[in-house]
Parts: sequence; C-alpha cells; structure tokens
Amino acid sequence: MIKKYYRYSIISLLFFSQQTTAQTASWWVNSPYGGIYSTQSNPAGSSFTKYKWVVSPGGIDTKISNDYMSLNMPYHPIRLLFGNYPDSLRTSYNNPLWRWNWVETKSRRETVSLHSFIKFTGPSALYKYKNHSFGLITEVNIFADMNGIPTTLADHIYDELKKGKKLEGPPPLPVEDMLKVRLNIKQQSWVSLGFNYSYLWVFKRRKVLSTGITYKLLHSRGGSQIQLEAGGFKEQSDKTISVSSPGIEIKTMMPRNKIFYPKGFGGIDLGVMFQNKKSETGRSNNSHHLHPDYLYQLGLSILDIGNLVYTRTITTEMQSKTQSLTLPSVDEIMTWTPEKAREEMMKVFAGLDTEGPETFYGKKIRIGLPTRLVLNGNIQVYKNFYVDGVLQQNLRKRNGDNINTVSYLSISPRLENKWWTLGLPFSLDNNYRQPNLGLYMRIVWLYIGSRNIVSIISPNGKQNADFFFGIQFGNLPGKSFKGKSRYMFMRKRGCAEF
Amino acid sequence: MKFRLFILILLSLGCYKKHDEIEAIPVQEIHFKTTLKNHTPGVDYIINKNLLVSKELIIEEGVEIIVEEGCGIDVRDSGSIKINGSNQNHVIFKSKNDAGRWNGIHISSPLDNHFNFTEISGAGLQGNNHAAVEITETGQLSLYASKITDNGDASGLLITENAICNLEACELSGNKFPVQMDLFAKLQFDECHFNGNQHDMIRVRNNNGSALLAYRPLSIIHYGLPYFFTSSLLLNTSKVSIEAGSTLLFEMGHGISTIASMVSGTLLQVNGKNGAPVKFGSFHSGEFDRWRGISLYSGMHKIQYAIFEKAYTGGKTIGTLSLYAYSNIDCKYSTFNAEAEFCNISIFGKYVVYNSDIKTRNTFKNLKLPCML
Repeated sequence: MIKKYYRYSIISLLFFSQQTTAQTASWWVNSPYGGIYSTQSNPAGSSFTKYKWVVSPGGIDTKISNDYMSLNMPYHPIRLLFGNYPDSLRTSYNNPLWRWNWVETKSRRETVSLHSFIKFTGPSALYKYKNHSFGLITEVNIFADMNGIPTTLADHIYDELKKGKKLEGPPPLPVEDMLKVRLNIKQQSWVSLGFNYSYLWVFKRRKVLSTGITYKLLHSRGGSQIQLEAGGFKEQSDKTISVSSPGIEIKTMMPRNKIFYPKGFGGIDLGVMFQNKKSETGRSNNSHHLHPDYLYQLGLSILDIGNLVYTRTITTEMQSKTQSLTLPSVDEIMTWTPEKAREEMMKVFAGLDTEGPETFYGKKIRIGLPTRLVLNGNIQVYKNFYVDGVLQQNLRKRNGDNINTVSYLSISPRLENKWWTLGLPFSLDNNYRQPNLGLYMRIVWLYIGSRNIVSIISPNGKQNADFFFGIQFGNLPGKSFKGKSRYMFMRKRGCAEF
Repeated sequence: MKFRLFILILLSLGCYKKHDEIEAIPVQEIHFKTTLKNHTPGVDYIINKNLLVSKELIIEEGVEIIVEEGCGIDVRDSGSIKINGSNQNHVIFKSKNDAGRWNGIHISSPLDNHFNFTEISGAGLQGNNHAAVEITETGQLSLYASKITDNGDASGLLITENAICNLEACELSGNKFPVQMDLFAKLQFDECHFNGNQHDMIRVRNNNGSALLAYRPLSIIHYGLPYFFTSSLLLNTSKVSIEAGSTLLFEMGHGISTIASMVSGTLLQVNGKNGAPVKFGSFHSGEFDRWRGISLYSGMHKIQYAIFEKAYTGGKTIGTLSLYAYSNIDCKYSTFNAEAEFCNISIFGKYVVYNSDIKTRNTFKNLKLPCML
C-alpha cells in the first residue's frame, strides 16, 4: 500500500490527463457565433461574427496527451472525487484502494511522450464598425512537453512499482535502457494581450474576403528546458571503441519582473477568410430558405509567429562528444603487470577530451511560439446545417527551443442557429495518429465541448480526451449586427442579373 | 483630444524605462565554468550570499552586480575570475544598499585573474585591516583601468605574502589606504591614481599579524607613495635595500632594527640619491608621536642621501640612528632632524665601525653631532 497523498496525486494526474487530452476551441472558427474563440483561431474571423459587440469573461482550452498510460479502473474515476467508490474497494480507513495494475501501459512507439497545452482566455472583447473589426484578447498559456524516455525503461520502472516496492528509494535502472535516453523536457507559460484588427473586403457577386491580424504583447512567466543524452560506447569494425560522452543542457528561464517592459517584439497572428454567399440567397423570392446565409467559407491563418525572449536565464550545458579510443588487445594486456595495465589504461582514457559543463547567466534565449498553420473550411448544406473542417499543422520542431503544438485534422457536421450550436467532430488527433469522436455545443452564451467525448464517458483504456469551456456575450448592449455591402440593396430590388 | 492625450501618455510610458535591481538574477555558487552576461540595462545580478568561485568565472562587459550586506566573492584555488569590462561598458560591483557594505572580493587563486575596466565600491564591511579586494596566499590579480573607491574604513587592495598584484591605469580613492600589503607581497603599478583616500600611502602589515621580519632579501621600491610600517622592520641576515625617493613612515614607537648578532654581510642599504633622498619619519603628525629610529647591532649598513624626521630617542643611548656592538656603517649625505635635546646618531661601544667623516658628510639639525659613548 502506498502513501495516501501519493496515491491521490497519481490518480489525479491520470484522471486529469484523461479529461484534458484535446485541442479545443478551434472548431468555433467556422461559426458566426464563434466571436473571440473564432478570432483566436483566425484573426480574420472577427469580421464574420454575427454581433456588433462581443464580450467574453473567459474560457479554458486544454490539451494534454500521453501515448503510454491509461486507466483501467473497475469504476469510473470521477467517483473518486465524490467518494462514491465501491465498498469492496475501500481500505479499513475508508480510503479508496489503489492497485498499480489499474494503470495500463501501451505504447506503439519506442519512446514515451507527454504533451500538454492549456490556454486560458481572459477577459476579451470584439467590436465591429462598418467593415472594420477591432478586438482585445487576453490569454494565459501553459505548455509542457516531455519525450525521449525509452518505452522499455518506462516499462521497467512501472514493473518495479507494480511489484509493490517502496517508492522512497529509486528503483535500479537497467544500463542498456538508460543509454537509450534522449530526454527532452520543456515547460513554458506566458501571458498575452492581443490587439486584433480585421477588414472586410466586399466584392461583386456577394463574395467577401476578410484579412486580419492580431498583434500580441507577450509577457513570459518563466520556463525550463532539460535535454539529456545518455551517451554510450560502441565497438567499431577497426578495433576502436566509439565513446560518446553524455550531453546535457538545462535552461532556467525567469520572467521579467517589470511586465510593462518585456523583451522581444511580441507575437503575430495572420489570417484571411473568404466567404462565398450564394447569389440566390439574396433574392426576395428565396422562399425555400435554401442556403440562406452563404455557400461556403474558407480560411487560412498562421498563428503565433514570434518568440518569447528571455534574458533572465541560467543555462548549463555540456556538449555530447563522440570520440574514438584504441584499446590494447586482450592478449597484450595479459602480458602486463597489473600496475602497467592500470597505467596504460589511464593513458588511453586521459586522451579523451573531457570538457566539463559550462554555465551562462543572462544568455538571451528565444523560445519559438507555437507557430501553426490552420486551414478551415465550412459548407452550408442546408439552413442551420453545416459541415466544417479544421486542419492544424504544427510548424515548430519538437526538439529545440520551441513551443510546439500537435497537428490534427477534424471534420464535423454542425447544427446551428441563433440560440444553439451542436457539432459532432471526427478528428485525427495527436499528429494525425489518434482517431477521436467529439461533441461540442453552444447554448446561447455558454460554449462547451470535447474532441474525445468517449474518454469522458468511459475513461478506462483511453489515452486521449479534450475539453473546452467558455462564456461570451454578444451585443451587450446593442442589436444584432447587420452587415452591409454595396449589393445588399439588391435584396429588395430582386435584380435580374443575379 | 482625450484619445490623443491617451496615446501620448502611452508613448511616454513606453519611453520611460526604469531598470533597477528587481531584474537582477541571484548568482549561485560557481561549480562550473560560468559566464555572466549583461542582460539588462540596469542591475544584472545580485549576490545574496558568499559566492564561492571554484571554477572559472567570466564577467562580460557592462555587467552590474549588487551585493547584499555581509556577502562577498571568494575565489578559491581552483577558481578564477576574469572581468572583461570595456572602455564604454564598465563592470560595476556595488553594495545593494547605499548605507550597507559588502565583504569585497577575496582571491586566493594562482590562476589568471584579471579585472579590466571594473568599478568596485561600497565594500569594506570588515573595516580596518581588510580591503575591497584581497589577494591572499598565492593569489594573482591584474587590474587594468579599474576603480576601487569608497570602501570606508577598509583599504582598496590587500596583498598578502606570496600574492602578486599588477595595476595599470587604475584609480584607488575613498578608501582608508589605497593598498595594504604584507612585507613580501609583490605589487606593481603603472600610471595609477591614489588620491582622495584617508591616507594616500601603502600600509605595510603582515595580514597574519606576524612581525615584519626580513628573513629573505627585500627591496623596497619607490612607487611614489609613502610606506606606512605598522610595526618595526626587523633585519635578520638578509639584505634590505631601499630605493631612492622612497618614504618610510612608522607607527609610533616602531622603526628599523637588527635582530641577529654577528652578521658580517650587508643588511641595510639606503640608496638615496641627490634630489631623490629616502625619507624616514613618523606616520602620525602629533608633536610627541615619534617613531623609534634605526637600531643596528651587527652587519654592514650603507646609508646615503637619507632624511630622518622626528625619531623618538631615549637619552644618550638611543638616537635617531643607534649603532651598537659589531655594527658597521657608512652613512653620508644624510640629514638628521632630531630635536635639540636628543642624539641624531648614537654610537655605543668600541667595536662599532663607522666612516670617519660621519660628522662632516652628514647634516645635523641644531648642529647636534653624533653622540659617542
């Protein structure tokens, strides 16, 4: 039996990771009621919002994914929170019983990875004036990523735990697996204040194009990065031994205390959205309500271009070096006295270049923002029925001084009117590897959803989930915004050229 | 109008950049080769505990470091400190609080240590007999175009026996003494300014409190600053030569004396020159604050072009220059300024050998000739 606090922390971690394994608010990019959340995915989206005013007190958009562990508990883990677990699985102190075999491990890859991205949207607002849209968007972002632990090593550690060994002492680790470690742990958090502007270009035949930009003032709240290469040795064909020394890089990045004087130039989102409104929908005799709003909509955006710049840093690094050693033959060694053998071996190893680690204070470190390409499309099939798609492609390398997101593709049929939205996205998440079925909805001002609804309903055995929750109000105060174009008058005239 | 005013305020806020110590990074112990970079226009680093440097520490130009009261930097044997300030961007060490003081930099490393374009101030918490920069044991330090200023009752530099310090184009001011050194410390300087200290002189005092014993050959070099000997300079069996132009001031009651008997070689050689005499006197300026004079019991001594001021004498047996036992002296072209009632030169005993023209080749204040006893 392990200690109580340890058990709860592990359960919480697993449970939390189950409930928050998703990329979230991006589906609202296609919705005219997306508002702030749409603008976050495409800065041009603010032009297409239904309202003149949008005010959002906030929202949370989380993603944590792992490709190794999942729960396999005999009851729904959420019952732990309410103390509603079966009596047969209670201890004599009325605590929940914990068994390590309730954690399943399964990895299709050679290494284990964990990715987490949590975005809190703070108070934000949009305002439309003629063809101009202005926005103010605040965000808090938390990012964590870990990869490079060999699955065999993780399995070994987990097996040790399952055997019920005490956790106080570290379990003995197999050297072979340790030599495969290429650990890369990154963590960042930052706050941004974004100024959005978009302009709606109106063309003939009811085609409109919106271009938008969001400039973000960034205040990094600190981060850290650990990269470790275990090194090793390998026998070469020419009877030499290739020795790789361990490489390590530890970066501690501290935030600036004066938030109004950040380093760096901030971040930029760029976006463009095109909307083709079917001309017939503008006719006065459109009695069948076919395609009442538009035919299709396409969007392209590149988000988070820029860097977090740290100058308050401490970096300790030691480069991994691979060198060749020529060892005397065994026969030769056998002829030597122990003293001579020792002396000769010392000479051989003394020839190795063993430069120690070096520490830098105040080194300028640029951490690339999670730059990503987002393609979105939306087709209005029938009144209130749409099919939309979102493709997000991560543009940052996972290994390096970057924050990275994961790539995904999602397609979702959507029912939507002024008061509610209901969508059922099917997505390939976690770099197109994990298929998920989700659900999202809007009830007037309340936005909620998950890309992996199954893992919420039944978390056991699932490695993925996602979650989004937000509130935003439209037209406070004011009436619904009616977009005007040069050709709007044709609705009344029923122009023949359409 | 209001909007324009708002924009104007925003812009002025953007231009106003106050950089103080809140952006400073605390520096941890130096266990690896470490480089401190200039990361912000204001204070870059804070030292809030005694910083042990056991590996190479490199400080780049423009770095500003504040040190909390009672803390300092200790460069150990295996460590080294290289401060690479530039003419445009000095490296600055100062106390965190204007009223507080820090311990200073203590170097005992024989490796390559240098301070280029460095300003050190506000140190000297330990006060008298300590310094803002202390070089001890076999430590070595080169300072170039650096300033050590305003360190209160502590000296600017302290150099102990076997330590080496080279200064070039440096300024040491606002300290008690610009330099305090052991008798055998190695000091070299060129084009330095030592004005504005409480005492613009080099204090000679063994840091471990031992007597100033010249147990090996010693050359007292003329640096342009007076030497202040805090205790008597004791001649043993090795030669002590004093360069022309030097000034030696002694604590009250202390002077120069031989301690070994039956020494036949040269012990004291005062190499004054015409126009560049060697001066001996008292550190204190009070009327009765007199030094002990020179007492020689054995060995050969040569004194020329020396000026002796205000030595303490005791009756006829103790003069400004007292010769006893088997001492042998050649003294000429020197000036003795003893008070009228004391002896300028006291020769005691029949075995003392002195130059026959000692009375005529020297100048005696008040025409007080040597006392022959």
